[in-house]
Amino acid sequence: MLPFAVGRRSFLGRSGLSLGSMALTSLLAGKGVAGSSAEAGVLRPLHHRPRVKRVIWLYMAGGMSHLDTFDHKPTLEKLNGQPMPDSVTKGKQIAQLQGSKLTVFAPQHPFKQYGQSGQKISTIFPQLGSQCADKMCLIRSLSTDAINHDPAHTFMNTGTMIAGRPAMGSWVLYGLGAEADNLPGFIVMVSTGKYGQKQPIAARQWHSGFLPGRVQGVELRGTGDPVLYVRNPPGVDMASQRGVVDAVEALNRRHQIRVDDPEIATRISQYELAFRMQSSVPGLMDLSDESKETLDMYGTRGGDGTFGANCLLARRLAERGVRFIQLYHRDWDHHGAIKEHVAGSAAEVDRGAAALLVDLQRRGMLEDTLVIFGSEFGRTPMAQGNGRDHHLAGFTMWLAGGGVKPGFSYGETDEFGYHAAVNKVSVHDLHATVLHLLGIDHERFTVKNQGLDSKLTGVEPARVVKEVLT
Amino acid sequence: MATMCLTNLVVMALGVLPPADDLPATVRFNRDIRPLLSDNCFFCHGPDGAQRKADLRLDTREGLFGKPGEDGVVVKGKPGDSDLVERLRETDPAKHMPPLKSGKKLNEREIRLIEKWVAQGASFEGHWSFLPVPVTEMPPAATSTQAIDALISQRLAVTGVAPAPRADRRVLLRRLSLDLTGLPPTAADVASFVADTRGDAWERQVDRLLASPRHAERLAMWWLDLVRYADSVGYHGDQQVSVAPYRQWVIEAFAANMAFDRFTVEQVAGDLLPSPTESQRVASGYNRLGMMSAEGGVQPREYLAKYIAERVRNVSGVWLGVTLGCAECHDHKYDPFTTKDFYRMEAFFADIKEVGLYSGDNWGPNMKVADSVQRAELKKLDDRIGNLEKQARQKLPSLRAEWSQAIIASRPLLIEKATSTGGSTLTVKGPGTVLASGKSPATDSHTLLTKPLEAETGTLRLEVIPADGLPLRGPGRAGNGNFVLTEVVVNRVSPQGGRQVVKIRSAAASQEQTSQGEKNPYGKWAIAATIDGDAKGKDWGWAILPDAGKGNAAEFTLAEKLPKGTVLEIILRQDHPNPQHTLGSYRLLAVDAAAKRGDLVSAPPPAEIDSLVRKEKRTAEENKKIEDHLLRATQAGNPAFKDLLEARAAREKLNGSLPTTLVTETVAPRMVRVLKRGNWMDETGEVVTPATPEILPALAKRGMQADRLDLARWLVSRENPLTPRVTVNRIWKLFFGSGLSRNLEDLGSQGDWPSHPVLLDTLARHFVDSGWDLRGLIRQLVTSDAYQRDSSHRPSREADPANNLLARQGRWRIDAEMVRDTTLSVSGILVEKVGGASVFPFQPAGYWAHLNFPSREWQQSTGQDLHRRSLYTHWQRQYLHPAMQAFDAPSREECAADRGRSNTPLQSLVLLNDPIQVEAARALAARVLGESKDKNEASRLQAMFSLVLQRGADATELSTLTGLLHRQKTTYQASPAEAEKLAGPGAVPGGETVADLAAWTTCARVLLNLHETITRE
Repeated sequence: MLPFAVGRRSFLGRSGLSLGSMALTSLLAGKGVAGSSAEAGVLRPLHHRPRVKRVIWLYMAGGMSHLDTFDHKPTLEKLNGQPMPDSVTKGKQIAQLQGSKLTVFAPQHPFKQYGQSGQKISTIFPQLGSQCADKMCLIRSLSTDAINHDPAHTFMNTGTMIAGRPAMGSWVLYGLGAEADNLPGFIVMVSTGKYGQKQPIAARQWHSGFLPGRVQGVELRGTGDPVLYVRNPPGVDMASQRGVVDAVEALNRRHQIRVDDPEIATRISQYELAFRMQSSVPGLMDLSDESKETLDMYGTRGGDGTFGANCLLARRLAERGVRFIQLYHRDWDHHGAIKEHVAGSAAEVDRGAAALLVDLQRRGMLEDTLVIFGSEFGRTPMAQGNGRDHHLAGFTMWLAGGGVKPGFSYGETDEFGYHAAVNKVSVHDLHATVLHLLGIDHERFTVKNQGLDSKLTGVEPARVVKEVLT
Repeated sequence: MATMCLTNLVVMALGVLPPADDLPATVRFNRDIRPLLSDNCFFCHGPDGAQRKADLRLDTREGLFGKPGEDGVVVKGKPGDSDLVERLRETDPAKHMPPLKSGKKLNEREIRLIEKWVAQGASFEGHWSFLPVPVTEMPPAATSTQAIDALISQRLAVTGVAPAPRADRRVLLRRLSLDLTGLPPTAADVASFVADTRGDAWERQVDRLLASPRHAERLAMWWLDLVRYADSVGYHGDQQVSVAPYRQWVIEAFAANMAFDRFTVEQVAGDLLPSPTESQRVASGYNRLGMMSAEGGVQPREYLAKYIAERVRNVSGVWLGVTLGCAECHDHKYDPFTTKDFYRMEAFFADIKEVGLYSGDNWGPNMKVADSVQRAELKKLDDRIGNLEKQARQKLPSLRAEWSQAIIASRPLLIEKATSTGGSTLTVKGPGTVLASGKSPATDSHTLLTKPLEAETGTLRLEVIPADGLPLRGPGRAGNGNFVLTEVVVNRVSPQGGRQVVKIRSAAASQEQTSQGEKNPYGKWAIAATIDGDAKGKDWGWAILPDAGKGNAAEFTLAEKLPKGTVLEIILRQDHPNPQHTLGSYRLLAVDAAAKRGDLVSAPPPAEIDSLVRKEKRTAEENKKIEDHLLRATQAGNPAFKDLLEARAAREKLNGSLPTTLVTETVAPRMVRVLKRGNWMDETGEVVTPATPEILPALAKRGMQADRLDLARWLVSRENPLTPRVTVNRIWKLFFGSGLSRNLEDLGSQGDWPSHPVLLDTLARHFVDSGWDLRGLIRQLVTSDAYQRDSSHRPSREADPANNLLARQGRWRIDAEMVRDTTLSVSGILVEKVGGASVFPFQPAGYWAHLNFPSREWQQSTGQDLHRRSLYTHWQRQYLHPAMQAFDAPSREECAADRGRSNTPLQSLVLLNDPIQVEAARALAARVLGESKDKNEASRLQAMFSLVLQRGADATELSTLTGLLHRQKTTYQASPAEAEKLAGPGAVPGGETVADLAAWTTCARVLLNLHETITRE
């Protein structure tokens, strides 16, 4: 092995994208990498032994109320309807409740202890509670920097509120490379429910930012063509399409002899990958090889764009080597009628999420998969009518899978569920932890952009939350 | 390249010292040393005071060599005595620099470079791009085109790399056409250039293309990325916003080769120029192109902080090419910019009228913009209105008398006492005039006790009048200036204090709101609802939108005549459930019983006119004032002015149809503080006034305090070293594939030392001296020998893989817009129309499914707008057109100085399957079948090849395509239904079958998918 930091400046010349601690092998491989079937990552070897190979992120867009789901606060029950103590809220950032009277709002559903671990989870998650409590590692002390959806999503995905930085999935794919040679390495699915105001989700949330376009997230759609432009034109069958691709490649090769441009070799391999995607995507979407029992477990027959169907597709993608899979359920913005709505949204995701964990485990895949569950922020302990407002100071997420302590909980909010109080975890800490599980040291995984050694975890200090790791 | 570097590395790894001569003969601080220190040391020993360790700076003379009388870390001429070198060579990990945990490390060559620099006397230079652009070092006679070639040749000669020969004429014209216009040439263009034996054949092509409107469009694509032009607001709901006239302004400015300094000033501060023209105001829309939010729950101050910070990032990105944005939260790590510099730059933009939270369709100051046809039509109507007004003047004296009578007949009701049930403070501001202030209750009821009536009264008049201090000047207290008067009750008050209801027979108003009246039982916000005893519910009443900020009146005809001396109690109820729809400012009047009242209620005149009318004696001048008012405010329906009213209505209608564009309006600047760590809630930071970064040349201000116009002029002042270097560097990239300094975003310490520093400075100096002549600059670049070199020249590629020496041209995949435009152009379906509103060509259905507030679907354009150039395609920030995004078009949420050039499978899917690609292939096939006189397959294939690539196919290429064509013909002859699906219904040109057209369409698809087709060579 040759040393890492070798005259990068003279070496990479002026490639515009020079990598802080890029391994030599991939550097030297250069364009050759693109010529192989699956794209290699730039981190070869990884910084340390990875615990997981892939990530499945179940993203509850809109701001799931931690207080009605995973963070039980008896004090709120006791003080329901009474004014929120000034000492807790004074001088804090507040969204729609600006200037309103702040009153305490009790948890809207009972909690129960589930599993051997006795994790306290709201009864609106009966499947996750009864089947998965002992697989989950709850982190009840998250906090974020943004109180409105748009910047909070951007912060959660890219580590900054300013648009234009790469999403975590792009970072991971860039670092680790793809396993699949017939599907994109970073796939996003979005489902919608019936209970919240549907959250707008910007494509920015899976953009590759200043990283190469090939690591951008690709949306797998519930309706229409599953991947944009994946369907042959009308009147063109696969044989004819193959004929076109063959001719394109033949002419490209001919031209390459003339001009000797390495981009042409890459172009040819991309046509091959595109063609393979055209064949593999329909197979991916076709659930006829799934047993009835499996379909029942996820609560779907497929093709319905539900969260449950997306969970099943997520498992299929994971099996096919997709590196980073993100499932949005954009239904969690419960400003009003939260009792009914949070139960409704929970019911929309409970079965699918539980089925995914169980299914991954019985296929032996949970041990090298990291599942993340959570929102861009939480909701206030204060009432907003009969709902709750956005809340940034404390909320809950959970992890499950390889390298993560199962049936474990970490961190606490204060008795009102307002501030992360014990063992605080920032969004950057979460990012550092996820990268760590994938074998990446977040401090060393940097890309030069706008003169800075940019990294997912930003300029502020961030730490790997070692306490949740096995 | 790989082999060479590997050799070097192996040599180093084995510890064998390479010969000493691999270091430059003279080590230069800026070229050789600063990048090393910046990369490895500045983070802890650079400009950021908060981050600095050991109180040591390595970015200043003082830091390196010590304050006078003290030792520094560098002793000139003595590497052995220099701490800097010692620490780099240190073997004890505790003392070694950079520290192990930083992940930074200098290699042996780099350390030797530093040693040699110290040994040679350690000459120090300020960072190159911040130094003044030197007066050109070339002899005065040399044009800068010659300078380009001379300076490039100089370096080639030194390094011994031979320049590539001139490219062939076809490649040259293809390159030039794509670079200058974004479109390939036609085969005929190529043929005529190839045949042109004149000495200035190339210059003729250059001038032809520079004069093309397509050239202005091509430059606009470049500029719109920088200034983050988009058709949607970006945040949260990503609602649509109308700014297309700004884009048009950019295109027109490039078409006219507007000087770049003027181009700059008009965008940054067009609104502050003396009597700005319409076009300058449109240009000032630049400041309003940033993202905006209408997300409920937004704290306005937070978003005002976001908007203004983004402006600093954009201005510093577009013109200065530095990453000042880093200094929002901390002093810059690498460049001498402080947090205070950042906020002082913000202060230049503190005068821009805006709000943190937008709502509805109102995105702040905007103006209507007419095109030339509309402008002529407006002029015609204005002339007609002028003539009609002249005629109307003759009738005015009699109209004035009649109108004055009506006004005089209504006298202000003197008010004894005004009370509010909701807790508003009601102040009697003048006779009959009431202003509500203080607490703004959700609902309210005003009770007004009058003094005795001064005359017999049959009608009461209520005038709602605008007033300062109310939202949008009222007259209501709701945020939009509206109110809802839900019920009016009039009581007669007996001397003993008893109350007796006075019946109201009828009511009429000068205007009744019709918008949002769908659920209203009256069908509108009718005055009738105020006297119905709430028969249809107490929510309904009188409202006046869209007349916020304007006066209106209602008159209540009483069922009886009230004698002089009567005391009244008037109750105005405002019970509408939408909060704060209460009355803000109004006047009550009593109309003499004897006065005749028409059906029409006239809106209240301005206070000044009202009091003039009530004067007993008036001068001629005062009468004229009243007449002028009457002419302006001619009442609807007055038959004396029918033509005038129609003309005005026609003008209003035309005006209403004009597109709007966001513009900058200036207001008293708000206070700007340094926000510690960028935290908008922290109010303890220092208050700052506008100023440019201290490290850069001073700004000349016109007044006591510098403003945006001063900033704009400073950006393009002769003293500013950055703007010309940045601009020249980016223009260079458009024509050579990468900048002379590779990092287009950052010319600061972390940027790249230019490959040809003297060339960059010569061009920058010439650009300024030429009066910022952008077209002149471009002409110099494309007429140079360097521009015309072959790009596939193997010897120079082997000698210099990164092409730092510019021995050859670059080759690259063309930009997103050009990919689609090329497809449309070669297939003959491109619509070349300049400007106008954004268009909506084909986009896959459901692509906008995840947008909300409101949810919406792409409304596909029809006809010509399906085939316009791609720079006119609607630019949705959150969901950019997927085919454009696949080819690296940026979302334009922030300044984008340098697009990526990726090569991905999604690009292949777009070219293979996007319906527009297939449609173009069909058109291309039909074009060949229809146009080619020779029915021979080979000639047709050659014709198609020539349309797409402006060259003939060789035998191998021809045989590939012929084989495909034959197989496809067989396939489609066997399944005509499939053929029709691909080739579409309708006539097949050239007397061929549908199966033939389908097969030819397949061949066309192949050509449109070629790497060569989307490559600029």
